Amino acid sequence: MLNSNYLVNLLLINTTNLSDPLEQFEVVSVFSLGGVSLFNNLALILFLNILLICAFLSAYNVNVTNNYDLATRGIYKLVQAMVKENLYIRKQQYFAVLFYLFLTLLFANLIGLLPYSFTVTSSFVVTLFISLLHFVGVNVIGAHQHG
Amino acid sequence: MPFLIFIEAVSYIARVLSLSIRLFANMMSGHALLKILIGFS
Repeated sequence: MLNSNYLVNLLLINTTNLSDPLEQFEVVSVFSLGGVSLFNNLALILFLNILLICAFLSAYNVNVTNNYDLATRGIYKLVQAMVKENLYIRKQQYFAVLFYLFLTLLFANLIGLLPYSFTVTSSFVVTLFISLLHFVGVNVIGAHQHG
Repeated sequence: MPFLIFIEAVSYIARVLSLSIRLFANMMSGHALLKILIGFS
């Protein structure tokens, strides 16, 4: 069943407790079935993050120029300049990984700016997952190419 | 020489943990500070 208390807090009907500064980091269940939690607010915001990235990138159109294209092109050029000066010229295919990483952190922090929302980068699971993912990936690719 | 290998391996692995703890601590302390300052007003 849906956790109605969380949704009521999210819809600004009930204001949260201002005297407890650490209750904004609580991971609460949103959807549970038979006592087993299937979906919490961390997963909800991560899912929203992926949806926003897809919507932002799919708004890109070569023929029409509007503000979305300007923002997409600006972020692309920014990450491209960063990759170009930090990576070898024959390693530029890893631009996609860094572009996705940049967009993920950007949208996570932009969602966290909304009041009564949840910042995913302020939970240790997400930061540890991002760093371990790239650590393992870099080591596997390095061992595969040089080993 | 084996001691140097040990030190380098530990510093290579600990960088993952320390950088992720640094991002987590900065975000959490910033949000908690903003919540406390909002509570004063």
